[in-house]
Amino acid sequence: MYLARIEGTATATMSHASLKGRKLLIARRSEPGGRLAREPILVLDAVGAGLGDLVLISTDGELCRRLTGFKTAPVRLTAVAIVDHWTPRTAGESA
Amino acid sequence: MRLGIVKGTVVLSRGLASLEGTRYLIVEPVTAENLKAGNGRGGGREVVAADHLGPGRGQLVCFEEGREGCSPWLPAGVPVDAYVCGIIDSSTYHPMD
Repeated sequence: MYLARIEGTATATMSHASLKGRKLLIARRSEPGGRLAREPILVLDAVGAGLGDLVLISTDGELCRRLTGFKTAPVRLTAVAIVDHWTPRTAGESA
Repeated sequence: MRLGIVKGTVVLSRGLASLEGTRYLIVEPVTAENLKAGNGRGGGREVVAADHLGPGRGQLVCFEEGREGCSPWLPAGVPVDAYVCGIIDSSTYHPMD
């Protein structure tokens, strides 16, 4: 899993049956130093995430198959939670 | 998934039988900067993705990579790890940086 910022939405009418008419979220992975990745990703939404939200992305393809109801869904990314806040780990801190 | 611009097609001469009957597109991933500009440029490192939808050159598509790329063929197995999932017909994008 990783953190990403929601930056937009997209739809694809001409698509695999599992994605037809589904609103997809455009997001960018959070990188060290508070930067966002160079390339955006497109994810399913399981929590009603909105523009500007920091979300937790899961790469569990099985979740995508369940959410879409298609065993053949060719997708693997889902926003599974909205992050309230997070703190950086300080060096030397134990788990 | 990632977003990409269709740059061309690949024609295979000899390959595994399971790869037959599918189109293969060259897709250039789109950077946040180019997506915002809507300039039809990609900017990422090209990938070859299997396709059943037939987008034209220059169209914006979404594609998935990894194990799920071959999901449409289930229960058959094909050595495909990138698949064009859809042709994007509308999008809004507001980069946060």
